[in-house]
Amino acid sequence: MDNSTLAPVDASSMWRTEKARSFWDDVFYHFRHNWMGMAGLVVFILLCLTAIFADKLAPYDYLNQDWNAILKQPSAAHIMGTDDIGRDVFSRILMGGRTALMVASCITVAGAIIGLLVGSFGAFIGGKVDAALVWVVDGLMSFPNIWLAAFINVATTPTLKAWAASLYTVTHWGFLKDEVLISYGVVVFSIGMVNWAWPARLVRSQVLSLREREFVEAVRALGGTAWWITLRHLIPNVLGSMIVLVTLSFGNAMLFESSLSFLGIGIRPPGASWGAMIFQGIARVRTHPYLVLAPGITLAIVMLSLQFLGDALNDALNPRNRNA
Amino acid sequence: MAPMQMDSSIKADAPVVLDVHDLQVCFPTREGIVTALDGLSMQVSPGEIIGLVGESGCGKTTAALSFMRLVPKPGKITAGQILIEGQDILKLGPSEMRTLRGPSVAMIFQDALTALDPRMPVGRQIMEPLQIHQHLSSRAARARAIELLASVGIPAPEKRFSQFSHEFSGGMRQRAMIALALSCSPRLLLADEPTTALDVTVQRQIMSLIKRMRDETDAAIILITHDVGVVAEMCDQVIVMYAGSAVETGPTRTVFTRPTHPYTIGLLSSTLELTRDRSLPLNAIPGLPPELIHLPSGCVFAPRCPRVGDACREARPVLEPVESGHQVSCWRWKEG
Repeated sequence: MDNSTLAPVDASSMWRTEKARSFWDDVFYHFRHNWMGMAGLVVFILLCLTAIFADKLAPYDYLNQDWNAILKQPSAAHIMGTDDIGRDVFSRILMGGRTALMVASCITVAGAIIGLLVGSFGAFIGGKVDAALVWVVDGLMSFPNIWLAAFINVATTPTLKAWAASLYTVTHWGFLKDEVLISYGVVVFSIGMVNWAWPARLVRSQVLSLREREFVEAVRALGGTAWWITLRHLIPNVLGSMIVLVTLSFGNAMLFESSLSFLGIGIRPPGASWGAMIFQGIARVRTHPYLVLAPGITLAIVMLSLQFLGDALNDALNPRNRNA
Repeated sequence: MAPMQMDSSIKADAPVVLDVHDLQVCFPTREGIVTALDGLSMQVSPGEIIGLVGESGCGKTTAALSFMRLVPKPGKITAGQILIEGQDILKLGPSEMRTLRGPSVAMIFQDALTALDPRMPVGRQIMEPLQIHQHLSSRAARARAIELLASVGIPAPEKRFSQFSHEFSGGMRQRAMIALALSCSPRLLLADEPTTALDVTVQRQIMSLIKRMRDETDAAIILITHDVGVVAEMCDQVIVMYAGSAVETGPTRTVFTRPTHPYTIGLLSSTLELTRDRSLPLNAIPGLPPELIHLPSGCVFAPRCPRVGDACREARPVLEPVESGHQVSCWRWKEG
């Protein structure tokens, strides 16, 4: 073949050294190209921003009772109307978002950490310790969650209140007497006690398969302790699926908080919670449907966006789940 | 065959790094107890390379793992004695045993791709044993890790330090694995088929690297392989294993030039040579190794042995000396 007619090859373009795509580059690439996931992420970021700046964005004080504007239909002054004691619904929705976000973050972070530690340690140690932990996790999961959380909530509220009161006599911290704040703590505690079972089970199954891998044996053969291997090798390898689970369970925790508040054992009034708002509005749903629709639709949108986000992350992080 | 390197610098009074007596390892299973190792004895001196050869499943890897007390569950060391630098490791507590793993005994695994954490940069993994055993600061450990990477012949070690194992080629990965095993200058190095996953040219490089490391550190090395050629080239001593016990041991040259056990003879005659007549079929040992759960009551090799006699089926032979340092466990080796 005669090559003389060909243009000289530019060696620099031929030998262009391209950085190899890492696992995470690949994940970000796939996530960026999933519009539902991106939409979910945008909604979630918006929620976070409105929650953080809720007191600045709200047109009214969420606790302010305006006796001249009771049960007003949505209007320019109150875009989502007012409730039966004259509070602006939109302002309460914003503050309710802050509540939901705060509670859900605490529950999810605590659940993820407890689940990670319990699941990985149990799987790694094996034997009786593992059997006992599995027994506890299975026990937790065999009850209806909301029932169990409600039970823990009701059972522990007096104790936690008593602790807060006795702590107050020593420290005189004002927040220990704040009923609403204590109800936050009770909700986080009762849901958190139930919610760590899922990450624990996921982590355990992942670790069980990981620990059969040779690199764990190799670290052990160089003197690594069980804790060293767990913290430095197993947990980083489990992190991918944890991210997905955390996203999905974040939504669950928000729904949980709303459910407890709806049942009247969650966030105490006058604290703002979407669940509590739905409950308070339900008596007037025929005449003033916006009282239920505003928090209900907000909750649905947030839940849906978190679901999309979780699904997209799952597709991006697990190459086998990607559909062509 | 390549010229055999015979290093007979082993002195009889040299301190022994590893001294194993009558080691027995059992795995309880649902069908019964599997005896993976039965009465293995061996001594390794500093600077010596001992080859463990045998078919898959004959207990080579189990032996190596038991020297670190890492026999996989539910396996157990049921009898015998393992002395590492005079210390009986079977009497140590778990934390004392951990302090030996790394500085006293380390292992090179067969497949570096699975033996390195896929989510941790290779250099960081080499830092770990230094931090565990020598309590180096992360800065000092990093410097030492880069030094180690350079010493095993990895170019641009500073750049390689922060790369992941999937960014290494097979040979480079195995070099990193060797650097990892050597990080705490172990006195005993277990190399479990270190070149099986590599292509032939890279195999040679890795083998000469292991030899060079032996010369530099004077570590004792146990080389596990099923490649008779590798043993001939690398090892001072060889232990031929069959179904969990040693059938023939001795200096490599002696065993390979005057094999006495029928299994060793079969193993050696089943190797390929370039000059052999291709029209002839390849010599193979007929049959399969016995299941370790149903070991024959006599000699374990009896069912496949061309020289089998009545005595072989009745009692198990023990290692007996053929000549200086050369031992065989066979009832009928004199008749061969």
